[in-house]
Amino acid sequence: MAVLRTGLSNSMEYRANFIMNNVFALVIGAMVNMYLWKAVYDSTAQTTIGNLTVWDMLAYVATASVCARITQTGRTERNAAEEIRSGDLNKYLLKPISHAMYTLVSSFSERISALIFIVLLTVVVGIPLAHSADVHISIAGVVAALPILFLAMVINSLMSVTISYFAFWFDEVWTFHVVKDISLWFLSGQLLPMSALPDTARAIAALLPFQYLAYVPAGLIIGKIPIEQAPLYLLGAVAWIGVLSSITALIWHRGLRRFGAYGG
Amino acid sequence: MIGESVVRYLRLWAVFFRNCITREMEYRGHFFMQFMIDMVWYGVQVALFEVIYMSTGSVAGMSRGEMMTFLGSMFVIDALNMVLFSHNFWMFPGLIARGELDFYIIKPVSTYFMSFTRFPNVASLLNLAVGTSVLVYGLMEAHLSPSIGDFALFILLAICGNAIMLAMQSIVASVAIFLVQAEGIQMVFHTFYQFSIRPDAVYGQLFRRLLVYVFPLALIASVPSRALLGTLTPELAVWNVVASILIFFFATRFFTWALKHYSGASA
Repeated sequence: MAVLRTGLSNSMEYRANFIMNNVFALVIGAMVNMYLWKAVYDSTAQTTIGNLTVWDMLAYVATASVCARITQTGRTERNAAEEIRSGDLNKYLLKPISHAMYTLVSSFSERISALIFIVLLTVVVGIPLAHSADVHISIAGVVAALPILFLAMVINSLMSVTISYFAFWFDEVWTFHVVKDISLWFLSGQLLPMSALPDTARAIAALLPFQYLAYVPAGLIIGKIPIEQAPLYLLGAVAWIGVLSSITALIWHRGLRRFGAYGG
Repeated sequence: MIGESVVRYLRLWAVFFRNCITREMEYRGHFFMQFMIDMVWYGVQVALFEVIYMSTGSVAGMSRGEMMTFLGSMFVIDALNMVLFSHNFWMFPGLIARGELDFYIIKPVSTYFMSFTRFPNVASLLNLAVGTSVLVYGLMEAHLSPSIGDFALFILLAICGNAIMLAMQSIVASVAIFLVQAEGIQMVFHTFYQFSIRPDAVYGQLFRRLLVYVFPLALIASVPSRALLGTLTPELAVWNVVASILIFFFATRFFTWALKHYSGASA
């Protein structure tokens, strides 16, 4: 709880970044994609792409942008690399806490304020807009998407922490973080739904953990993924957390053998 | 007199380049990682349109080849900005916070020039090659064969597009002078820059006009690419040049004015 409180107060220190990330970046990113997809539907005789009509697609793009923003990782996970590089990791090694768990909890606490803000933005602006455009939002889908969103936050954090732990071997790992974040625009389904991908790519995407960050929760919320499939996705997300936790632990222990802690 | 000044600044810029090449060669891993980031970004943009064109033959009146021509143009202009200016904008807030801008101000050259050209990013020269390859591929796919004049016009408008980008980035950077602690302020520009990475034809008519005439983000890459696509009107070409001069003039004035409010943190 103490870590949660500290993280929350840290997140409020960076108010300009907060507004930039959670208002402008979210709204503009979604807007650009929505314009693109509207132009795509206006240019084709097909009424559906990836089983989505034009309004479904616009609702999907907006919802997927919100989900991706909720599940994105921040500077807390990246700071773990700096702690390894600078030797600040010493202070964690002396305490009876797990570094990965500490980082995860800190990261969540920093995201709480953003989470509340995004939910408010969605309720006040998104839902009335969706109603006026006659877009169906599944209440059961929203309820099913919430635990998946939570698990997706854990999945993304674990991926980021694992990348940061490569700092035991490399001087700089920030480029790996940036490559991951850019790849996720596509792989998570933020730019386009997985259902629009060719069959082989779709089959591969279904086996990977990235779909839980945007495609699955957005699909459930707009009712394009049947609610009956939610437990299956929930299990899949839990399984991926198990796999990623094991990888994180393995890299942490291997890395720790190389780590030299000096000074007081 | 003006000619002498231009030569002097170009020589200085060449020195900055030599200095940065030496630095980059010391950190070759960083050089290739930087290149990898940009390749992934380019890959995501191309992959998105590859998937879209599986469902349709054209988007906003543009065939797949024409879209690749736009993407290639955008990559080239973006790479030019990366090579010449971009790195400096990420460093600028740090110069203010640490008071290191003092050392730029006291030099007998333009502070604007020093602040935004001191650290060219030579790693992005590779991006320029990749962007040009995508551009040539797009032109071949679209069966377009622009004349020498079209290419010359594209180069002129690409320079203007870069001037607009530089101006916008420097306006955002100038705000950092007032805020003092403004790490990451360049994200403001990059957030709005997202409008530039799609062709202006995808936006509705009203919004497109806004992006051409009010917030000239469409003039960065979309309008220059029209010179190669054969859809550029003379009015739009003239406006691209005029707008770049106007916004660049405003940006330098704004920077000079902001600088008057700078109080060196090291003093």
